[in-house]
Amino acid sequence: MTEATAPLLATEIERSILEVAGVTGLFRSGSAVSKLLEAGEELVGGQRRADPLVRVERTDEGVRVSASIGVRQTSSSVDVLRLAHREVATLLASFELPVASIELTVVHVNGAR
Amino acid sequence: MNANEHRRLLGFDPEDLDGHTIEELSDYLEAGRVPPDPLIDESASCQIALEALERLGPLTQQLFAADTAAEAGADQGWVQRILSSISFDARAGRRIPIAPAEAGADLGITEGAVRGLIRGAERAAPGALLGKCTLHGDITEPAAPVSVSVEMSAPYGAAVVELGELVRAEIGAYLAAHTTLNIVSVDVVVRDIHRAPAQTENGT
Repeated sequence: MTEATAPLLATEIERSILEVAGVTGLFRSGSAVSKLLEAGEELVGGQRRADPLVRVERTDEGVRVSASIGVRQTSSSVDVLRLAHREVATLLASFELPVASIELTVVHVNGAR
Repeated sequence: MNANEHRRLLGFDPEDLDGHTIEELSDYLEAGRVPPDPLIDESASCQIALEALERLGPLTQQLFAADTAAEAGADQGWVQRILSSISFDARAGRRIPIAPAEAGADLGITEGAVRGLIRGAERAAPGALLGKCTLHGDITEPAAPVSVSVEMSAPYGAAVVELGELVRAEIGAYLAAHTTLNIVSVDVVVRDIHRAPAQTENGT
């Protein structure tokens, strides 16, 4: 994986997670300060960049993926996370990429009915 | 009162809401979330706070008005306590591990998401409002015993015990579906009785 392909891979991972039943969306990861800085940079020019919210890093051990997920209240976060992990692992395997870690976190359970 | 003082009164700090203020979120809610603000829409903390404000919002003015009319000088602190607890709930807090089905998976849910979920249990008890919610125990340790305590304000004239039981049952069901925590108890403490029209099923 090159620096150039990382955003493309992140976009693919984002799409695979969003297709999992029960996922309502993806959120920014990191501290409040880092999220603000990141968002501020994106808003220069008045528009958000189309960069994915999933983080993908290349390390000596393999690819590290982290994503912050929203889940529908009527679903089960436990089931959704396990399904999403399987989808991401399958996707990385299809690219023959070694996996260092896949960290998925539910950060919001959407209670809207 | 300036914006900072107002924010402090309600227990909000910009850090809690990814740099946004409660006034901004209230305005955003009132405007029907349009035009869409990606900085708010992509912030889990903002979404948790917005959802809680959305449930509380229509009641707040009625509650203040009812309390003022019924009892001049009455303690209205419980409304502010609930608002403050929304801020606390919205913080991401600790990351609670979720037992993976496959080796190598690193799965979790934030404490903030769980508290927001727990607060949503008030929908099961029309008219009830949930305040401070606390998870006791080492929630970062799989299988460690965890107890939940939540404060509730019940509407005047309601069957308090039944309302409490409804909330307890709802919280238990939510936690079983969304976490793998070893929940040993769920305690609902009725802290206040408020005068207010009963909520409808959709929380308004």
